[in-house]
Amino acid sequence: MWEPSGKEEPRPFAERLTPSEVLYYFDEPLLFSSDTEHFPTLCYKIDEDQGINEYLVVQSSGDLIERVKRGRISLLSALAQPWCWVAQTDDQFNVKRSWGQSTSSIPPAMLPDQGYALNREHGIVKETHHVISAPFLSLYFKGNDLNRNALPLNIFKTLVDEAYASIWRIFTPAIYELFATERELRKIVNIPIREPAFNSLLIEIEQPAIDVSAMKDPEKLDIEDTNARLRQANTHFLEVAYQISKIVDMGGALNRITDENFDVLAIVSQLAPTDRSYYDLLEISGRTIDKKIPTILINAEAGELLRYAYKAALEDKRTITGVVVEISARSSTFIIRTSQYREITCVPVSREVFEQIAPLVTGTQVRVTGSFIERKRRDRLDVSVLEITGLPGGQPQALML
Amino acid sequence: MRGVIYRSLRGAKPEAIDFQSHAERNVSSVGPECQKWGLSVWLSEEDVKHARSVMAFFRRKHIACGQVTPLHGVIKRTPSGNQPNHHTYWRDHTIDFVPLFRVVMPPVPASG
Repeated sequence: MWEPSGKEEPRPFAERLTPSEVLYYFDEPLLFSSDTEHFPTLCYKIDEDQGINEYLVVQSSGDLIERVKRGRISLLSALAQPWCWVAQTDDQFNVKRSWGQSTSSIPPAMLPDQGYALNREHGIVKETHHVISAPFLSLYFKGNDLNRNALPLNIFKTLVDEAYASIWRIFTPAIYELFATERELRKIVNIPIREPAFNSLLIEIEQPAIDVSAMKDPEKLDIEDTNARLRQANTHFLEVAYQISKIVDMGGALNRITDENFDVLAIVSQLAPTDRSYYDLLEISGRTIDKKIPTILINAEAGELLRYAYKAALEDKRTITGVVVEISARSSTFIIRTSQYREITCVPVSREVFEQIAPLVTGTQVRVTGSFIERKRRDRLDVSVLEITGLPGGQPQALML
Repeated sequence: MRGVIYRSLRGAKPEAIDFQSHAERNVSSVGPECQKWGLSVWLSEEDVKHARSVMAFFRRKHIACGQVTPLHGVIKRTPSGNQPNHHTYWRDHTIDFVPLFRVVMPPVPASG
């Protein structure tokens, strides 16, 4: 029996892999979907020995299964998710042992041949994923108006624009302070993109790379530190996006979104499909630093819930910390920049706050509470409580004015 | 049925267990009851080749074929939505199938 090289999970990821739909049968189900306690899976038998069956298990969806059945994607493409499990079961499909693995660590000899559709009549189909190294981050827009052969230009542009804005929003906060301006940051940090695939639209990026040749003073930037920040930002995004999608899947309410996670909710709710989208499924996956995060699947129903949660979070009174970057004496407002690199116009709504503005100077660290209003150019907070948490230069200030 | 059927073997040569159904071996299985008493078979080399392309599991198995007549058993096309070409064979339990079969396709060597 083949044994994966990774560490065995102390507790198998699922109790049972009961087949819910058998896609390939030969004396027994060899390829089937199974609804585990946590998510739907696709199970592919890879080995057996003395009553123990071994399966490669990947996270799945109704859409993926349909595509496999209709020969829209090869079986290899369906199994080539960034993350998988190897599960050993008894003949009742009870999982006895399991290992979490990167799919790229599965020997090709244990996987379907490239390009083969499940049904012989469907012939050879073009691969959309490859079992080479997983992309740093992958955004996969699927279904509805999107199809394999043609993609309307306006939809393509919209999706690329949304992906572009979201990708920068994920990484910019992590490294913004290392650059003098955002323009400089975007000039020096390149985000390599893999060949986009029209099935429906797959946008995969590699880890952003620093273009040293574009820098005036390369020694000023610690490349290793910058790369570590980018990896951390990607991991943070994937972790929080996965948590958010799980909560929504389980019918939970997103009522405790912290300011740190708010941006992820904003990005995911922006990318997620809704009933009115050109696509009806979004798959997000990518590489993380050390934790396993399954592919995040967001359908239109979940997308609607996410947008609702985002709007509700916007309407809630929020407490935001940041640094004062601009003060307008004329309008009695000030602008703060958060650690997530978001600039927010703060408007005092009480006499107390109005009086507190006078000692503020650029660089003062503050914590503001109030009603959040999302705006196209710069969001606004109607501030009812203002606390100064640090003076310019990082000196802490406990005093509440 | 009069013709050739193909089976995947557990070992390097045909053995009685290779022709025993899940029901005979008392192994739990899913699907219709009557199918549990039969054996999944392929009817052509093309079907075997395709099966080996999609189910890597079969690439590591020896494939044997045997010539059968109506005296040996009965066959039925048992398609499902995903496998229109799936066939189930119910053998005559009084006949020893081992001598009828010979290996025609050895395991595919793993490349790379």
